[in-house]
Amino acid sequence: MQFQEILRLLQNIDRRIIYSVLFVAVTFPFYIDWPPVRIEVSREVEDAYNVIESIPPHSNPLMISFDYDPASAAELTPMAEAVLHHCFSRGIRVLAISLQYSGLGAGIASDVVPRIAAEYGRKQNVDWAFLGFQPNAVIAMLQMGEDFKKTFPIDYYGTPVNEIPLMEPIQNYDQIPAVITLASTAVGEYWAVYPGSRYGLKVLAGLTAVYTADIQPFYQSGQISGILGGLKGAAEYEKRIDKIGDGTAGMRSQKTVHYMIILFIVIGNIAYLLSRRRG
Amino acid sequence: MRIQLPLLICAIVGIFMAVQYFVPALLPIYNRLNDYLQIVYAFSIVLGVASVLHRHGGKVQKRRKDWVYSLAAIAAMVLMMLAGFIEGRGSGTLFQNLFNAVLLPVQATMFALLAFYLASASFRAFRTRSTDATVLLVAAVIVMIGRLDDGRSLAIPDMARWILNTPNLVAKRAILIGVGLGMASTALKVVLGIERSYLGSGKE
Amino acid sequence: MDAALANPIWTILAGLVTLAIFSFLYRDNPLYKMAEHIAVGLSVGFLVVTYYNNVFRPKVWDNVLHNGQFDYLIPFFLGIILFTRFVPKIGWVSRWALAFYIGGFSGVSIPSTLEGRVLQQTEATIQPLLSIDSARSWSANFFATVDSTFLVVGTLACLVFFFFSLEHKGGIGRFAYFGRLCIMAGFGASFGYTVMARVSLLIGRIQYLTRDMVDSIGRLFG
Repeated sequence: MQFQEILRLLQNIDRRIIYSVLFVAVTFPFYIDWPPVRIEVSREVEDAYNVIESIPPHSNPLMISFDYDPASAAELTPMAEAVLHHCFSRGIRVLAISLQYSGLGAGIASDVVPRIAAEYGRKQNVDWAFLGFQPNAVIAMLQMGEDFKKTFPIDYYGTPVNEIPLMEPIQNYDQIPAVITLASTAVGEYWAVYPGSRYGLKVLAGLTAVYTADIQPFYQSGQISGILGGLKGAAEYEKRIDKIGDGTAGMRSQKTVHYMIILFIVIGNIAYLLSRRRG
Repeated sequence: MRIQLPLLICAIVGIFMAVQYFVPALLPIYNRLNDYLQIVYAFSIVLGVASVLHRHGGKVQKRRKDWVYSLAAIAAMVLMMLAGFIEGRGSGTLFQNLFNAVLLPVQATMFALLAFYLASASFRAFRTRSTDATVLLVAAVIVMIGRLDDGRSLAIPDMARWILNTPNLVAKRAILIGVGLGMASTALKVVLGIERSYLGSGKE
Repeated sequence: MDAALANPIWTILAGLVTLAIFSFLYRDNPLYKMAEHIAVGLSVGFLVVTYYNNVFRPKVWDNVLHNGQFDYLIPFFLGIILFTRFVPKIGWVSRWALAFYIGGFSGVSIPSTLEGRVLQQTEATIQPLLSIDSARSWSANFFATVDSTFLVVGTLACLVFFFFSLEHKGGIGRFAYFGRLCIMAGFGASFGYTVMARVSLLIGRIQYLTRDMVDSIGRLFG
């Protein structure tokens, strides 16, 4: 086979080969506990942890907004679980809502929140409440700044919010120490732009990795006080609270696939540069 | 009625919602209008649902190609509605189980497929054809390794952090400021009736 | 069916639909199409139930029927007229509702967008070029100063790159090119993170198949 032919083949590896290698690269680490991974807690995650850690137990709740749909669950549910473990293990109350327009985020919250709360014997409506969903995120964010009970007259399960003990002291954001938005869309940014700037709400962001690079200006400007970025962010938070979960478990596969993709890019580029040099 | 009235409604509501930011006395009306907006928005989403139903219903009625799938979609919708309205929502209900066992894995897997396409596309498209492309590629590779906390002897995690917090930050900030100005000016044009494409072509 | 048995069956069902969607990698097929359509139907059903319970019931019915707030019939009416879009002759009536919604949302977004996106971001950029702290080493001070300078100069360069009223030639051209390189590095970072995100989604599904589904099969048959 001619050298040029090899270069051409290297630049056009069949997609089925790439798919197969990718599948193997993701799957094998679950069986062989390789490669070793190292997880360093970044400053952004440390900041988010410190904000949540500073909330006094059994006082006003941390608000968690499930602003993602099932498409991003693999990245954001481990994050939600890690934050909930942190809160419930310390007796920090949790107020969950969802502002994902299709309502599917509410389906995720209604599965995750009660499940983790049950592990710590936390009581519904006392230690945690799930107010349900509102379709237009921006309008709901602004409404909560004035009156939570008008924004969510009943919770997800149909209980009037007036009858929920956890909600008794809560009128608006003044009684909320911080919100963490778990977002797969620009809703994460809206929290900083709308209630953050208008009501001075402290905003933490748990974002899909896609949005992590875009949100950095808000972190530097102080509009967002801490960031958990993608599955790695979840793994870092798990390390910080010393509770291994799905975030950490997935990092081996993350590593093998990153190197696999880099290897393919390098092969493609070497072949491209050599073929260009040979005319 | 067809053009002037919508423009008038848009201007009055828009100007009020902008002005209330600076006039706390308007808060009661503002709160009520927010409720109204939320309700109208909800109806607009339901309009989308009606459109989906219309499409699948028509397909089944006329026995068009792949009508069986449309029938399955309608049956699944009815099942979910019955489960939600009769048994209710919450852990252990049929509504939640259908969500966890079908809806969530289907959507999650559809997006997981993108990993395969992305791997294949980055191999094919990522070439060092110019300085710009090289900068992009090098930054991507450093971030991909650095975020794994690998290559510490070469300070790659530090470089990844620097890329994220410095060149990436300034680029995203410039875009953010530009987009912010663009959004505000477009919103102003809408409120003032200069931008009126939302009214449609005028043929309906 | 008792809950202990029901649970693995739901888990296995989730695994099976996952495999049905993965089958698309080979080619489009009836299994994939069926799973996709069922999910569309379920999500529409989910949306209807959720919207009714969380929006229409508390915000419209309860307010009108139980709280005597009849003004809530206004947004209800506006919402209903949106459906005139399905009737071509009177479709124009839906514009009233659209105008109300778009006007309100545009109005509310003007001050917040300017404040949150433009002013606060600009403010965060205006900072001293020299970053010297006597508690830090000289090298730390040096790098902090480089970063502060980069932050200001880089943001300006990127803004100049997007500013087309000036021809990008000479000094301005070089400055804009520096901005362009920053933007490329930013896109590179975004690409790296996008790879990470997509891979994470795949990991989530493979984790489900290799752990949860296998465990459930074991529980059901073992």
